Amino acid sequence: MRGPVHWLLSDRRRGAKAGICLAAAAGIVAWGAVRGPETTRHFSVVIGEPESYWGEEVAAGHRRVIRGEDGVVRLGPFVLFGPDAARIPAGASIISFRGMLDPKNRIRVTYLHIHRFEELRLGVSAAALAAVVALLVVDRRRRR
Amino acid sequence: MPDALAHIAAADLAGRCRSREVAHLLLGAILPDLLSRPAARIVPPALEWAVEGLHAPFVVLLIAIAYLLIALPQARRKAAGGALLFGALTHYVLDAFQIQVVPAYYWLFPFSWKTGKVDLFWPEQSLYAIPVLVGAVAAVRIGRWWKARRAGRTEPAGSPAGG
Repeated sequence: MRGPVHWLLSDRRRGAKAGICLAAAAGIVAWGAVRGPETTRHFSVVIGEPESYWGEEVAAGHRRVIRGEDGVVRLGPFVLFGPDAARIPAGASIISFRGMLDPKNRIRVTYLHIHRFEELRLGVSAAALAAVVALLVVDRRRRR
Repeated sequence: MPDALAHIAAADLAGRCRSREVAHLLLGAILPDLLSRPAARIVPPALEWAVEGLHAPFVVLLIAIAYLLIALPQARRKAAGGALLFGALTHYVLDAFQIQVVPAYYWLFPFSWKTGKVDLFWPEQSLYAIPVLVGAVAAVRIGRWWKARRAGRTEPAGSPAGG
């Protein structure tokens, strides 16, 4: 039986269908990029007027937090403090956290998780990607 | 996201497809991250959210269809598409179990910004599971190979080989 899936995957006007799919995907991602700031708040620490978040809980995921030589931990224009902030290792770290922003642009960290093994994860993922690409190349050669 | 090796090992364990489509099953298992993570690394950190949509199932589906139409002959598209989408499904299932401090995965984007998660493990904890997952994949593969070998031995001479 020939249904819409068959038509979609058939050779008939496949260039046009592929182009429409790619254009739609690009359009949706662009729409999300424009609409995102109004709808999501997870980047609110990094951008926006800090005054508008006074006293509010703020959060950041996968952000690079820098502990300077002076021992102060910073995230963009903000300073992180509190016992949890003191646990952040020296140098650059990628963390997820929640905290309360005060009027002095300081964030008291109330919850912290340090993402460890970031380089190892990247290495393992790169190896997996290389394996999949190798499989696809072998598959393509076999078909020829 | 769990690392890519955990994703492809999980997909390999969960999926059963024709051996020629295994590459597409594994490609599907890393496709959402393959599209979104490099883009997230290229853009400035403050704009990472702008490429978050590349990880969404609907966008991945559109790009997968475009890939099938461009890269594969018509005869293979259905099987390869099934393997690709099943791989992507296993990716999303694993992602859903990951702890998120902040909203990260918009399953219904662009139709909704709602998120859903189970909060079972931290991203880096998938690394601890790699030896188990790789061992399980090896055991299953060796088991299938052994079974096929035995079936080949017991097959009477002259009978056609099974597909």
